[in-house]
Amino acid sequence: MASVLSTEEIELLGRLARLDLTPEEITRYAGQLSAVVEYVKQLSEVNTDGVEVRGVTGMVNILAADQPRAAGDLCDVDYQHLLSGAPARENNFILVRAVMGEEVSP
Amino acid sequence: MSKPLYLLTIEEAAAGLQAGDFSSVELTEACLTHIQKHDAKIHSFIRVEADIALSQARESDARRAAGKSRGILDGIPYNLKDVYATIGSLTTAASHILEEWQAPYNATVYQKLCHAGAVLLGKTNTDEFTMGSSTESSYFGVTRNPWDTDRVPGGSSGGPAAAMAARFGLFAVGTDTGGSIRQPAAFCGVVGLRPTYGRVSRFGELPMASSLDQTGPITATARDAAIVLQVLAGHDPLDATSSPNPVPDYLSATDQPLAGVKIGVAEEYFGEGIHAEVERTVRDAIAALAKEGAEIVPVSLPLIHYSLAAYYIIVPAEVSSNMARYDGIHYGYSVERTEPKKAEVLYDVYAKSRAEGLGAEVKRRVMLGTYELSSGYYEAYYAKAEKVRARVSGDFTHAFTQCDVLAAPVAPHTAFKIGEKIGDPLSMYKEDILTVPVNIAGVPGISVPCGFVNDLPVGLQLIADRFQEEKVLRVAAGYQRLTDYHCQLPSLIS
Repeated sequence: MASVLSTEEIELLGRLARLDLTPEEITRYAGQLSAVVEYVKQLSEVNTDGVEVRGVTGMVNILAADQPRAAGDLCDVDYQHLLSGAPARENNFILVRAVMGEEVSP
Repeated sequence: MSKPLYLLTIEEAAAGLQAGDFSSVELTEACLTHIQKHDAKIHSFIRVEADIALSQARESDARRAAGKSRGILDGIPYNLKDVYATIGSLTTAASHILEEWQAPYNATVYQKLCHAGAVLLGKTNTDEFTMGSSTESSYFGVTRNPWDTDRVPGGSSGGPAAAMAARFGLFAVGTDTGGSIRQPAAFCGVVGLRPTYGRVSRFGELPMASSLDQTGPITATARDAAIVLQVLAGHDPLDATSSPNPVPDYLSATDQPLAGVKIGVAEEYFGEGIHAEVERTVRDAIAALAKEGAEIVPVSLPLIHYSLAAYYIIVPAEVSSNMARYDGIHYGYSVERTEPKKAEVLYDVYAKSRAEGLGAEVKRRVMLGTYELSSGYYEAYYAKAEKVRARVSGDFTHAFTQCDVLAAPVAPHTAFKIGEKIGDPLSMYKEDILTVPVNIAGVPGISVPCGFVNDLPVGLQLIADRFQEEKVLRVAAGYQRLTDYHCQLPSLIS
C-alpha cells in the first residue's frame, strides 16, 4: 500500500505542530499515520446528509454572569507561582527569544 | 476484625472508623505498608505521598474525635491518577514535559475529596497524558497487571486499576476518554465507572480530548463506586461543561432489585474479533441477571462499529490543540533550561522542547490532529466525524427507549502481554473498539468483574442513558450480590 502521507508531508506537519522530528521519526510516522488515516476513511460509508451536530448530552451553551470577582474568589491562584514556571523572566514579564528567523537572540 | 485493614471496602472501613475499631492513621499505615511491600512488582504508583497521607489521616482522626466527621469518605485512603492538579504533590501526566511540575491550584475533583476528608496515598501511573490502552507509554515506565505481571493492566488508568486490584488503597479516581477507566478495570478485575460527560467537573484535570474526557471512580464494589461518585458529581462554576442536573442518591439505587430492569443486548457488541471464552463469560453474566428477574431485550446499534474511526479523528484533533499549551515557555520542560544553546529563535524553543519533552504517542496524535484540522481536510475528517458521532449518539438514544441498561463486553479479550501491541499504534487503537461508543455518545458505562478466562479477569459492561448512573449502579450491585468475582484477589498480594 502506498503511503497516504509522504515524508515531505510529515515534515511539514512537524513544523506546523512545532515538533522537531528526526529523520527516523519522519519515516516511522509516515507509515503509522498513513495506516490510521486509511482506517478512518471508512467513515465515508456512513450517510450523514442533513445530520445536525449538537452536544451529545443535550447541554447547550451556558453563559457566565458578567460580574467582576475578587482574585481567589473561585480558585486561589498565585500569579507569581504561575510566572515561576517560565524559564526566563524580566520583572513580571516572560522573556522569550526573537520571533523572526534572522534575528538571533542574545 | 480478622482481615487486614487494606482489604476492607469503603463501607466496611467507614463503619470501623465510626465504631472506633481503628483510626484513619492505622488504616492509612496499613495501606502504606502494603504498598511498600508489593508495589515494586507492579509499579502502580508514580509517587507515594506518605507525608500527605499521614497528615490528612491525623486531621481526619482529630475531626472524628471532635465529633466533626465529614461523612463516609472521611479518613478513607485512596489514590489519584496523576492527571489532576494537586497543590503539594507533583502533577506529571506521566510525561517528561511535566516531570517537575507543581500545580498552582487544585483540581475540583481533589478539592472535593479533600473536603470529604479522604486521604491521598499518592499519584498513580497512566499512559502519557492518558494516551494509550496499556499504560506502556508512561515516561516513568510500565505498570504490571497484578494478576499476571507479564501482562499490561490496560490503560490509560492502568495505575489506578492495578492499585485497586492489589488493594493499595480503598478506592482510586481516574479518567475515561475512550475506555480508560472501564478497560483497565476489566483487565484488573475491579469496578470502574465512567459517568456521563459533564457529570463530574473537569477543572484541573489535565485535558486529553475535551469533548470526551470524564472522571470516575475505580473501586472494589459497585456500592463503593456509588459512594465515591456521590462526592465527585455535581455542577462546578469553574467548568462550563459540567452539568447543573441534580445529583440523585446513588447508594440507595444500589439497593433496588434486579427484577423489572430491562437489559438491552445489541449483537453488534458481540461481533467478530471477540475471544470466544470472553463472549461466553459475558453472556453467562447476562443470563444470571435474567435469572434474577431482569428482562432481556434485543436492541440494535447499527453504527457503533464506526465509533472507533470517529473517535480517532476527534481525539487527535482535540489533542493537537490541547497540547499546544506545552511550549517550553509557560511551564514544564524547556530547552531554555537544559540546553539554551540549542535554541536561536523562539520557534526552536517550542519545537525542541516539545520534541524532547513529549513521547511518541503524544507526537503521533498531535501530528494526526494537525493534519485533520488543516485547511481543506477539516470538512472531510473532523466535521464528518462529528456527524457520525451524532448518528451513533442517536442510535443510543433510540436503544434506551427500549431498555434501561445495555449489557456488553468491555474488551474483546483479557489482558495482553507487555510489548505485544506497543509497536503498532493502529492495533493498540483497536483495543478501544467496545469502549469508545459510550464516550462518543456521552453516556455512562461501568465495568464489573464477571469471571475469569485462563485466570485473567473479564469485565461486564453496563451502559445507561445520559445522567442515569444510578441504573448501571443498580444492575452492577445486583450482579455483585449474586457473584463473588469482585472478592477474589491476585495471589501476588497474599
